[in-house]
Amino acid sequence: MSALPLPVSSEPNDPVDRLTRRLKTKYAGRICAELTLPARPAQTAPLPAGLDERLLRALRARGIHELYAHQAEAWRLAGEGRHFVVVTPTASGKTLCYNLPVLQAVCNGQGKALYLFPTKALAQDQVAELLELNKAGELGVRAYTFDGDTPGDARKAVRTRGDIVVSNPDMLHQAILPHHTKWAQFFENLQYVVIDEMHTYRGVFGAHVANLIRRLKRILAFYGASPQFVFCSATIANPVELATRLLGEDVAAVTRSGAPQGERRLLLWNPPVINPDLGLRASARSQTNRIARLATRIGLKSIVFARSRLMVEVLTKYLKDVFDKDPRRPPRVFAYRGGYLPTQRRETERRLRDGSIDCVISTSALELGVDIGSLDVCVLNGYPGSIAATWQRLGRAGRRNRTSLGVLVAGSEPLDQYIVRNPDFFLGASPEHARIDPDQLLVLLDHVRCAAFELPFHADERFGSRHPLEQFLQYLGDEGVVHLEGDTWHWATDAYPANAVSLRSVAEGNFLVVDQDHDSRQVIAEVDFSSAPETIYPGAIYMLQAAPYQVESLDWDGRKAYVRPTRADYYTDAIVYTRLKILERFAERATAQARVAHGEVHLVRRFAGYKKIRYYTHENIGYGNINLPDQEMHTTAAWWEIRPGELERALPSRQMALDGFLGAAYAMHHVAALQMMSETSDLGRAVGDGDGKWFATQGANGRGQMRDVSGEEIAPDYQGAFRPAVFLYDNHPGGIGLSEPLYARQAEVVRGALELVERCDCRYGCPSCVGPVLASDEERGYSPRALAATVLGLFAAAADVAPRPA
Amino acid sequence: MNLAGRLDRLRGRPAEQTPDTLAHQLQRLDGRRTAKAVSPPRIDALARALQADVHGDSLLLREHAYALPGCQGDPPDLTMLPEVQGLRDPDWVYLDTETTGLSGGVGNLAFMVGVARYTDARTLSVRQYLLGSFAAEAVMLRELVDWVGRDAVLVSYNGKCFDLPLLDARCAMQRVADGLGRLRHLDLMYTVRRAYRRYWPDCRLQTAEKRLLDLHRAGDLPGSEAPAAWQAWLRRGSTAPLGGVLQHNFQDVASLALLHRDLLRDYAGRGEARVDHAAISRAWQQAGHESLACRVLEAAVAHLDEAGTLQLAALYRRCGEWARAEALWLQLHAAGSTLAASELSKYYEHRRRDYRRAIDFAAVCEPSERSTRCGRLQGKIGSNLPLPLGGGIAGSNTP
Repeated sequence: MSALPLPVSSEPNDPVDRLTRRLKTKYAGRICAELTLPARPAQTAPLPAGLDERLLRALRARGIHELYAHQAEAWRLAGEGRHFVVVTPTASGKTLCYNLPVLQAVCNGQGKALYLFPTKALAQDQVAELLELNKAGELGVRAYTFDGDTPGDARKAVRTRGDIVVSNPDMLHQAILPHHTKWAQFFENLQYVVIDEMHTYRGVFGAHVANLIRRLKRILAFYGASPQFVFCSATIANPVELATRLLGEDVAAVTRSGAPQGERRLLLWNPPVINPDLGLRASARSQTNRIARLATRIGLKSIVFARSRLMVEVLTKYLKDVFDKDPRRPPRVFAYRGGYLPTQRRETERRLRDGSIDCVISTSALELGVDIGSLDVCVLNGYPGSIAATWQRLGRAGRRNRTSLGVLVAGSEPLDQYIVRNPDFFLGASPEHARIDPDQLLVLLDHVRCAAFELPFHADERFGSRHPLEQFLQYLGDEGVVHLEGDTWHWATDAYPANAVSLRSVAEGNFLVVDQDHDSRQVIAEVDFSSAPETIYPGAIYMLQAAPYQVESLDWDGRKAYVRPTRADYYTDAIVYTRLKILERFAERATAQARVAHGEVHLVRRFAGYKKIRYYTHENIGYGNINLPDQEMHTTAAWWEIRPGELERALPSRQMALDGFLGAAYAMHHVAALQMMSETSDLGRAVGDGDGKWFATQGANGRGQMRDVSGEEIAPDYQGAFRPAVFLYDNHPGGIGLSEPLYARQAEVVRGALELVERCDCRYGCPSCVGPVLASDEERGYSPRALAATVLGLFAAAADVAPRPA
Repeated sequence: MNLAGRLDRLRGRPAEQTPDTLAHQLQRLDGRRTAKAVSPPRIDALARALQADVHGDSLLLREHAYALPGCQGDPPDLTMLPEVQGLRDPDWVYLDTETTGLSGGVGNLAFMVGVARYTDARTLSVRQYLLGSFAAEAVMLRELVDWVGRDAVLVSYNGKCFDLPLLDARCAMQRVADGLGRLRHLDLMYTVRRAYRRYWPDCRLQTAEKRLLDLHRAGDLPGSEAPAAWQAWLRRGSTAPLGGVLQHNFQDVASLALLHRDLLRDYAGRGEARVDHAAISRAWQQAGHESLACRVLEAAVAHLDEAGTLQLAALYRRCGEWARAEALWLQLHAAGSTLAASELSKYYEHRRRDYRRAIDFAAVCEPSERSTRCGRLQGKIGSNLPLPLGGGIAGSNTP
């Protein structure tokens, strides 16, 4: 938090320099681009006049004699009574931007503050920091966390005595707002609401949080309070827009960081081609492993980000095989990801801070502001899926006065390849927009219900949504949830609605992973509902700190998976079939050749079985069955079709059409994720007829297969009408507002995909354009890549026509 | 498609067969007109059905005198419970609510509140408020707070955790100043649980009625069905279920008063079996009433287990009644109690300064203190007597 401008140097013998030189000499061919962000000196401003004496003392005691420019700017906006959002890099002293005005207000006896962090762990870090300032200046400020761990007898003290209450959205939703009368005194005096890590409030979570803020504002109005809102965010393209949508009011911005920054190097790394015919490259995993090994050997502390929990475990195993062979010595390599129990994670965080870990392998879980001390090297195993997340993760290495190195290792996915081949796009691009749709119907309905419980709705009241509130209330009235009397809608049922609404998802209920080998049947992990069917089916290998467990049984209704440690030399990967049915078209545009539309769809995901894949060689050594109920979802999608006659002319056989559509879908999915600035997992793709009658998958022979409702393979030539379509759907129940902008940008998506396919270096198709193809494809007599290009060409023809309503 | 249809589909419900939108809207408007008509005719019908008066637009009030059965002789001293002991001439108000939900949170309200206070030592005046509409709530809360007054001592069953927080939350929502939470409050559930939890399967009010008052409700509407009864009134104007709730609530309030009187007996120590006399005694002791604490245990001495007897002995020791304490310890010791041996050893060492006897008891006392106690005593005796071997030696030395 020091505001002193620190000298920034990179000594000749700097180990980070040594590592960089070594990588560049040894692997010159693999480095596609290099970027150096120069060190930046501090820009400061004097401590503001009018600062409370005690606060001044506290700051001085902590070595703060001036402010960074952005902290001074935040102070000014706070003084003007405005809502504002602070967007500056990690470790730039962001928290002082809000702590300063808040502490000033508390010291003057003017009011109280509510801090919201997305997770409990971040909240606890924050209180620790406040307490240090408090102690340094003997401020007498009472800051408490209020979360699920707060004991019952302490809660009253938090409510009545807390000057600053630090909590999370889930607690506000389930415990605070539904009991707001207990908080009356706190709310009446509330002067600041601080919402940190704002960039995490996007997608479904963001839509929920926006509605939660609507509910909070209603309650605040009831108590006659109108506090200032302060948001803090990592870098995103649209911080002001996001804050404004979350709050529903105008928000000012502080975006220029005055904090110093050490020099930062970034290498874009493409694994070498190992099979030129198939365009196959060495895996990103092998490269990441190599770089992390080098860094650890040199004595640098590094963090490796992997894109999936599975990859975290695989990489951890490989690195532990090298560095933690001797069980008598303390481990040097650790894994960190969601699904580990909180105590395990806190322990890893603590070891990171005290420097006893040399290499940590993590999913996005460490992307947030969890304090993990300073690290030297960050290796990204694959493009994280968004530019904002990339910078956020790279920011975990390197603090203010040291050189740091980031290496982005490209995977074989189209996005990764696009980025390493067009480094200017990546290096020059602005980060993503964080999108939320606060008016997502199901989310809105959930929160109208919760809000009605908290205070009756007056008939002409508004809830900040674009949908007329009255229709929702009438809908809930028909269900007997609310009751209209005079001009007021009253809560009229015996439920506690917040319990039935989870802010993190549209679906319900986490699964517990239970180790049966322990006498006590210990819970070792949690898996969220939506990823359960593809990770903890009976037979699956579930990895935890690189130790494999086999799932023996799954209690679907009881939400438990029973596992046992195993010595298997393979891991498992689920095979998922998706079929879609169009329910309603919102809009479409069409030409003589093709048609593109968006609307509401119903999709069914079937978990057909799984593959067993051997470690190191990654060969497929067998299959198993998955016996799980199909997962159904209503959501929104955009889809592309070709008129039947046109399709027959362009692609003489149905088999060729299937291959072409599957390849096109693969390319479009990845380009769409890039264009939409969302993560690939937020979108799903499918090829089928839009009636749910059949869908296409890629079979073990690498060729497209047509399957019917029951999942049986059927012969394409013996079916009646044949109208394949590419679907890109919003991968959240009810949709989170991705399909509409996707439809609006469909021309860019199609053209981008066409470009990706046409300009690829491979011959027949590869994971970087239309998806993996097999060696036998040469014998097909046609190239999947050419087929995909044909399909995309026809889509492109429809892309530029004027839209018309459905 | 209209919003309702879309919501139904997203939530995976069979799409309702919606007629054309206009008809649908008309139907809605119609429904709304009915809903709005929570009007005098219906309220009057309800008032007639329940034999209640109407206050304001739609608050119903029923008032009954209730003569407590079996009240002969001098009225009992109702303050003789550890929680309220020492109160001077308290203004008891019995209170019980029926609510729209049982899950807590500000969205639930009390649609019925029963309160009662004594008009004389044998008669209660029972008042029951019933909301005929949501609008009546503020009126009810104001009248209730007024009627209860500022000096009442509330008596409830689980009111500390449920009824009072709920009423106070609703007072805050309706901006009725003060609420009731600041009043003194005797929650009989705690009084009951303390005395009987070890012996009863549960401590619900109706269990207490059966076991203490021998009261078996017939045809009573279960409390859990109360929310549905009020909803039936709101939505369909059904009056009958509310009659059942009114009866149920009346019985709850009456039971509070009966229970209050009945509990006095076990708390005064009448020596019944299947009562946790030790717990009652501890409560009296904490309330500063040591003689009662003793009396409760003395009356039950035949039923006391080791812990209870030790507790009584400890009370005697505190009052300096050493002989009585010793007698109890010896009795326990004879039955093999090592804890009693510890007490006896201390007694002989510090009180009687009879180290030899003390060491005899120390030899059979709690294993965890045996060696230190014996060692210290040997030091005091100042000789190298061999350690007694334990067993019944202490007893054989009795003069």
